[in-house]
Order: sequence, then C-alpha cells, then structure tokens
Amino acid sequence: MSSMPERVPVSDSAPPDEMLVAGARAGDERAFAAIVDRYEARVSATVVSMLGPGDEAEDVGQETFIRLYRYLDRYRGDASLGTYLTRIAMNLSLTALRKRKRWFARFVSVESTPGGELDHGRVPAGPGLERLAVDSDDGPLGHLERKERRHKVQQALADLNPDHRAVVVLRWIDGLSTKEAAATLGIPEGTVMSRLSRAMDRLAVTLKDEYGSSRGDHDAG
Amino acid sequence: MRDEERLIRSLDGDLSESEANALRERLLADRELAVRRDVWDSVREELDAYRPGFEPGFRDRVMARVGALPGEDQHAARGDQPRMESLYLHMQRAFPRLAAACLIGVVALGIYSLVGDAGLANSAVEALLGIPGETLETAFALGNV
Repeated sequence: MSSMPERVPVSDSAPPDEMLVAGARAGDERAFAAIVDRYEARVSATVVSMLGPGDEAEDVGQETFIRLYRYLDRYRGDASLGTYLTRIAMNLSLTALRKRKRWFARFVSVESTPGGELDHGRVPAGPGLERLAVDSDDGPLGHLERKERRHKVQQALADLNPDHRAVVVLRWIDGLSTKEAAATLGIPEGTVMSRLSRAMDRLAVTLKDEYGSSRGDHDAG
Repeated sequence: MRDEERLIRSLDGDLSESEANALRERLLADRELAVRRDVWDSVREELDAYRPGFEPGFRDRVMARVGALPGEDQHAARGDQPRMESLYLHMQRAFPRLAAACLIGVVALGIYSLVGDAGLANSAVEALLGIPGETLETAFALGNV
C-alpha cells in the first residue's frame, strides 16, 4: 500500500463522507456542495495533470462531479469517495484525450506543425498556466517561483505519453496505491510498475534542471 | 523482484525490513542504481509539490450545473427510479428467471419424450394440450371407417 497520505484532510468536526453522501441523496444541495469543496483539489490534481490547465480541464472537472451527482444512488462505498471520484476524473480525462486525438487527426495535418510531428495526447503546458490556483501569500517572488516550477512539472508531464502520464498522476499525484491505480486503469499491477519506472526515467531527464537546482539549494543550505 | 519495483516500493516506504536490507546492499554494489534512486526520489518530491487547481468559484459553477439538471437526474441522485427505467429494470431482473424456467421446461419435455413409451414420443405436447395421441395405423383405420 502507498505511504502517501490522503490529500484531502478532513477535520474531526467535519461531517464524514457517508453523511454528506446520504444528505446529497436526500436532496440536500449543501451536502453535495460540501463534497465538491472537499474534493475539488483532488479532482483538479487529476484532471489538470492529465489535460493541462484550461477550459477543457474545467469542463472535465465539473463533469466529474455531475457524474457523481447523477449516480449517487449507485455509490455503495466499496471504495473511498476520493478514490471513486479519482476514477471518474481519470476516465473522463482519458476520454477527453482520445477526443482530442481524433480532433487533431481530422483537422490538423502533421506537416503543418513546425516540427513535423504531433503528440495528440500532449498537454498544452504553456499559456493558461496563469489559471492555476494562486497559493498563499509569501511574496511575489515566491509565487512566481512556484508558478515557474509548476509550469516545468506540467511540461514534463506533457512530455509523457498519456498511458504513462495516467500512471504517474494516479500513483504520485493522487496518491493511489499500485493496486488502486491498476484497478482504475484496468491494467495489471506489473504494467503499472513498468510504466511508472519508464515514466520516472523520462521525468528524470525533463526535470533535471528543477531537482538539480533544488538539490543545490539544499546542499548550499 | 526487479530493481525498478524495489525502487518504487522503497519510495512508497513499502519494503519489509529484509527487502530494505537487500536493496541497501544492491545500492552499495551498483552506483548507477543508487544515482537512479536519488534522482527518482527528487522527481517524486517535485511531483508531490505540484498542486494544480481550478479557477476560484469552481464549487459555485458545479452547483449551478447541478441546479440546471433535468428532474430525472435529480430523482436518480435520490435513488428514485423514473417509471420507464423502473419497468426496464424489473424486466431485466425477470428475464433470466423466465429464461431459466423455459429451459427447464424444454429439458423436462425432452427427457419425458426420450425415456417414455416410444408410442408417446410425439405426444408429450399432445398430452399436455389434451389432444388424443394418434399413430399412422389408427389414423389409417379411422380413415377407413
């Protein structure tokens, strides 16, 4: 099992998921709004990591919660609500990437791109990053640095093919275990491991400057 | 266990003591693997620090869409099945039972016909429907009456 903690801390005084789900089923919109509040960060991590920031990610994020709402009666609690939402978000993201690929195939010729090559599953990593949520206020420089770092990570994720990206996102951004990631993607655990190791080697190359500089900072400190 | 799997499980903090010791020995013996582990660890830290988000007001935009959903979806969320869907689900549940009952009936009739009197081989359905059994001989005799 993964050692990574759940990314959605729930305080002791907050109502448990089961209570919110029961409330939403009973037609209490405030209960459903509380679910959205609680899991927005987790769903955005999945969707934005897979699709890149922008309108498409926003649509898929909204659709994830709408699906949950529509099929609330089918949620039996076999998996945690967070894992259930991550599965919906990942499936919708992969569907969006397939649609994107078909759209590119239909309307954009490979020859028309500057490099003559086109990765249809690529995340638009450049413009639109301004839309990333603004973190706490530790000065404009800190904010800019974090923004730049996010940009680099987003670009590195964009360089992975969608299958490998999905594994990285589920395992080390969403914090799912290998078993849960395998179940979400419908692939064997061994395939998750092999894709993850190849993706890590690739990320090691593309993020070299990032972790190199952070190590230098640590060493200097 | 392959080295890569060991490295991943070590990053997860998922190795048993004996597995961790075995990995330590491997890392001491293989400098390249040790560097690879350090690099993966750093990449993992970068990913861990990565926190993308939606624009502010996401919850309100979702709730606006929820409010605009048609009534049937609202019913579905509460577990109330619309009438047509309910009928469809009942039919779905009833069909396997009906199919099984038909299959048992056909097999029973077949066995009855096979093991029963050869003269009755054709009359299982006739007996069921109350039609008198006729052979070619009796039919011929009747024709001569």
